[in-house]
Amino acid sequence: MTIAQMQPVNQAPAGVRPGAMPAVRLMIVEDDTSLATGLMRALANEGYEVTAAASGEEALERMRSEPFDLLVLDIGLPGIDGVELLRRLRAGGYALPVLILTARDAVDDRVRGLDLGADDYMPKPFALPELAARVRALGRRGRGQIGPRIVHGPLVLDTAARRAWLNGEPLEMAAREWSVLQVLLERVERTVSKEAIIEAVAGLSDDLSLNAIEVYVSRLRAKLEPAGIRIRTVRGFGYMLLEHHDRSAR
Amino acid sequence: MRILIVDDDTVVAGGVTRILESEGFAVDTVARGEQAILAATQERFDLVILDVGLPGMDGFEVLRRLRAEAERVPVLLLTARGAVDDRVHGLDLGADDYMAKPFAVSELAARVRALIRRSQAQAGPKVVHGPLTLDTVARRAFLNGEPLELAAREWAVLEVLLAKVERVVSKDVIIQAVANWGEELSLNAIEVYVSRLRAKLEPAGIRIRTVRGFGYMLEEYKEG
Repeated sequence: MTIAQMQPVNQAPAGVRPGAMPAVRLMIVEDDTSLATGLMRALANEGYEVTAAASGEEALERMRSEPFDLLVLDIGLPGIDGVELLRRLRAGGYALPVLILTARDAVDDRVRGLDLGADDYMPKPFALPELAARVRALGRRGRGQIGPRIVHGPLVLDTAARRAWLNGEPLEMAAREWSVLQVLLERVERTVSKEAIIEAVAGLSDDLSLNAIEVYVSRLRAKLEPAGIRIRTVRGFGYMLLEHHDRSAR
Repeated sequence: MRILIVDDDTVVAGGVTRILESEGFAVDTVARGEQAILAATQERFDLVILDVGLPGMDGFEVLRRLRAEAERVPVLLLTARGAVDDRVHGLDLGADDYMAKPFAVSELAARVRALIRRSQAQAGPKVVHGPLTLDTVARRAFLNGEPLELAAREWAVLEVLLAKVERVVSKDVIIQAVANWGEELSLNAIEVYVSRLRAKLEPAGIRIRTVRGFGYMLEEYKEG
């Protein structure tokens, strides 16, 4: 099977209905079939709708017929190479974010790729977690978001839009509840002292009591525990958000 | 375009400042995280270059707080911590790019250009407005295909107006975008740059409208 024949993968994160947050459509242009397949799988697992093209010609053709949000582009392609493809896209007014992924690692190559209109440049070999993080960063910018999206079991936080979903349903939270939850989410399975929460939550001008933190935590519990998300009290110290375990999987 | 550098290492900060100023950017520097938050939230920057290893509040925390305040300025993390986990952490806190020290100066400049393009929603390195083309990489301008000479400040003012076609831009915003803290730029100076730009661009049908008592607006280009 060639990668050109592979079906697009559409896989939303667990617990998120596709309708709640439309998936980012991403195209990988890569002639190395095994690398393309690995990338497709990894990025599909991150919730992207992934398509692969094995040549520059194929990529151009697909982009004429359907919209894409993001491009991961190899330079060394048969036929139209990645540099030429990028040049044509930018000349044609295509503004989508492009990440170049290539074995050509010299500083001059990086500068040339970026100055042709690429948004990021990663040399091969690369660490998959870093590629995924860079793709997330580009996706944010491309969609006008500024902050990251945090997923914790059935809970999804869009930190820039300040919107949250639980099991795919919009979840209402007061601003302070949101801030407390964000602090806990950044330190899953680690105890966070109430003082640390206050420091992270309150602006320089605000005065927040330890009691207030308790109130926010208890409101968060009321909202999240039905979905299996637990905040444990560590007596006399603070709180810990527990790792989420999918009960249905047991 | 104006850039804030946050680095407590004065040698690095000074070096990066020189490079970016030579590329035509207005550059300001602070050494501490608290100052960075104040500067980035109170004034307009087009990009923040943020060191992670700062004394006191570190760069990750600065970034977290900026994003929590919904501050959307693009952030490039520049740091000695090159481990994959650090990169992932920084990007997922809301950074737009991440470079490990030591770095190649030319690559830093190219990444800065890429980030500014993206945040200004430019499709590519060339900005086109009717018969005018700005090549933001080569820093050359062309009018009807002929090279157009622009002084550095004229270029900077034009870039600001081009990013907001058909929107009014106040003189204060223009000053903030083209001058750093060390430079005093008067409202009069802005008027001078605009009038020079008009002399060069109006013959080709590109109009900069004065909005009395407020600022300027680059009009949509209309053929003929």
